[in-house]
Amino acid sequence: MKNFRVWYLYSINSFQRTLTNRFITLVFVVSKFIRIAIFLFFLNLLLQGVSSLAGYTREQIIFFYLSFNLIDTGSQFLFRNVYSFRPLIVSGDLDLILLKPINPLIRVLLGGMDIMDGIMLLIILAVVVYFGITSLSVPVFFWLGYFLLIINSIFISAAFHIFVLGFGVVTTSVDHLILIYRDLTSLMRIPVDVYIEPLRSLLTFVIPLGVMYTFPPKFLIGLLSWQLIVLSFILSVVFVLISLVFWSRCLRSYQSASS
Amino acid sequence: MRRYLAVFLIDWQNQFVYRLNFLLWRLRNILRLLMTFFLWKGIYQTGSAVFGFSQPQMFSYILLVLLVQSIILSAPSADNIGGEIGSGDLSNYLVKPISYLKYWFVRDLSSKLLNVICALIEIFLLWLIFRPELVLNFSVSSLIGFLLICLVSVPAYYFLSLLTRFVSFWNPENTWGLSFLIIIFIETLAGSIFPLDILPAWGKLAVQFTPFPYLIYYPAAIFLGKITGFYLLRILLQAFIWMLILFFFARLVWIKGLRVYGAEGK
Amino acid sequence: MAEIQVKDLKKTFRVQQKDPGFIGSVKSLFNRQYQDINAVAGVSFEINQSELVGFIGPNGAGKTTTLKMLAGLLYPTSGEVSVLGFTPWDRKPEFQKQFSLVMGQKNQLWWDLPAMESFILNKEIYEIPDAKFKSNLDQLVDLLDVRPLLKTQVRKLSLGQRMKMELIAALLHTPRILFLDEPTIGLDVVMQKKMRDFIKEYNRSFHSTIILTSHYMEDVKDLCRRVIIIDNGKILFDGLLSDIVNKFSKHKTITVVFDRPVEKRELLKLAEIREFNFPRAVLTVDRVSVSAVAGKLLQDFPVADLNIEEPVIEDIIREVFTNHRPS
Repeated sequence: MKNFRVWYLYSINSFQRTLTNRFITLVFVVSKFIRIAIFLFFLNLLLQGVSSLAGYTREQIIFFYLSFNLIDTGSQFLFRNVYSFRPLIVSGDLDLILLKPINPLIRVLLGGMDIMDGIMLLIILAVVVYFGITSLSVPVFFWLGYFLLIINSIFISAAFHIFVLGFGVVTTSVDHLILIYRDLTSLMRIPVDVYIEPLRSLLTFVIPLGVMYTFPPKFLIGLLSWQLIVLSFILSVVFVLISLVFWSRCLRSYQSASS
Repeated sequence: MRRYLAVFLIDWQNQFVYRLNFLLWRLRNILRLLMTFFLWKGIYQTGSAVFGFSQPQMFSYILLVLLVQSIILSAPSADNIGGEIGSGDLSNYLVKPISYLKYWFVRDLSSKLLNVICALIEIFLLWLIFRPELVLNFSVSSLIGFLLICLVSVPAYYFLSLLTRFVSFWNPENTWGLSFLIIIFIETLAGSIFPLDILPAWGKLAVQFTPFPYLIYYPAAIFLGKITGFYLLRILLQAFIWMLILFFFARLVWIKGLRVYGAEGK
Repeated sequence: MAEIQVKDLKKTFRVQQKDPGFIGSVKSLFNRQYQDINAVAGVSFEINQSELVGFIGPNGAGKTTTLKMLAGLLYPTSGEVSVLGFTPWDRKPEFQKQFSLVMGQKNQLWWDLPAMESFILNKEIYEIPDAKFKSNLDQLVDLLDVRPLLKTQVRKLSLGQRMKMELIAALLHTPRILFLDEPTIGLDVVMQKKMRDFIKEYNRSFHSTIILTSHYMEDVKDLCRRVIIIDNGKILFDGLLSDIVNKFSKHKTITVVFDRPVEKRELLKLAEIREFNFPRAVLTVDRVSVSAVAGKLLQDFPVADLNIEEPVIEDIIREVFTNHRPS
């Protein structure tokens, strides 16, 4: 399909761009790993002090965090271009994209994949699987369900990003919005069950971050009821549809900026 | 001196033009504070004392961090200097009889003033809404200590962020790479999320060899009266030394950077 | 003593090379290749007070680089420069208070505030006394006719209006030397003319030395008596504009309009034909034989109109460049 070919070409270009800045790119990747390591250290410290967190053991909490990073890095890898959206609107270059005979989301959402995130994603994937196998006794076919839910989470993440893009078209406040989103997701480094009501329900059902981040690892541990599994899939479909409708509405009311 | 006062005033005015941006920035700060708040509330569900910190003590710390962040960490220069170097706008300043570095420092001060005022209002409102139990035992000496360390840490952070932005001289397209690393360190090692008391002894010692704890943790701890006497003096001295080190390197890199500066970016 | 003295100025940039394509990117990770670009390759000249000098040359010739070194923005690779007795890249405040640099398309004004705020800031930066500030401001504002715009946000002004404000901001401290880098770029024809008139007027009234770079011939023709032609980092010509015409072009052009068809062959016997589009033809003739050829044309051909012209400066300059560029 044409869309995939164009996506492929955008990605190759994007990869090349990151390679020309080897020092900075390396710094980025190292920083991200350092951040993960430090937080793991913090979690470790925390769980030495308390017996359990919302009923989860130490290994389980760590797995939740590793799983968080998997989804987070996956989103970053795919949707990095959203961070470059604002200059496009301000300069009016967005119009050039809209004129082309291809879905603008391909460029605006998916067109800036970062190869470094990709490499990082593979490493985290390996760590997740390794840790999951060694520390949690999990039947093999559960992994299948886990990864299906992860993919589901990526779709929810896509929906969030599309919402941000829609807002960006109308208000140009993309940067702040996306950073607020990142701040909110950082809450999900620990299972959503830890939080008190009403925050917990808010984060699960209204802003489906709980579904996105907590459900997949919960499933792997064997604590997710089949009703909630079905709910996750339905929710992501609905959420993505709403975001797409929102996006097209925003585009329609869009007016290009003057020079 | 007058020229820098003029810069301060014009920047102050300018901040109000970018109202929406500013409000969103404050919103993000409050949001992050709330998140840390709920994170710890969740953690405290399981026990009443974590790391020897009671819940009221923890919440006092968190609210204080919001204030300290406004004093020390709000710095629009960080967002602008890299871009100005990369785009060549730096040239406009280099031909004028004004120091570019002092110019941005004064602009930062102007921004800090507005941020501190807002932080105080926000802390008051948050306290009004949530009525968390707080533990505040500060005294005159702790306030003086707080003032002193702020006096040192404000320029220290400025020099640190300058160092990260000066990368632009050699890498004009990518102006915020190095600062990402610093941001992460500040998130974790400075004490923004958790007070550094929870670190094991070797951790507490190691972290003093980085400039980060002096930015958030020590000012907050001093304010709360947890650090006094000789210990306080030692920390102040260490913070001062760090400021000197950062000043030295910032100046060095600045001079080197100017040599390389191609003044392009048309 | 000359206000500006430049001796054997050189500036070399190191530029990174990269092979195209993905493989090229990976290669560049491991093995960086650099190329030395001699932007300025040994340039010498002197400029006296109140002169209005134009630096012309194609893009990448080295004119902006030279200007930036005069303003103290760049450090040269070698050579000496003295401006008003100072070494520019020392960036002494006493020096900086005496000149101004205006770069077309680059603004120094605060975007979201009225221009007046930026003026006040400059007043403090350049330590302009109150009375002088007021009189300069009034004079410039009236000269450029922007009084009603002083309280408007800079971002809301048109490009032309913004340029006017930039000029005011640059001139408030009555600089002795004014460096203008591509001042008319991006402006419409009417604004370009206004800009040129203003510069001329300013040079006349304030006797400031003005150096401008441009690749628009109109700027140069209109403003400069003296031009310095730069290409590939070297000076090709430094002298009066009128001298270029004489030195570099040995030809004049005759434009003829015929009222009856003529044989091209016949015309060729007389002179070189540059254009032939009946009833009009443009001929290139040796300077020496111009009158003779003109006479013959009138005698032997059915001429309705005849015009003898100096070659266009653009053409001369183009000729100068093509002769001096490495093939």
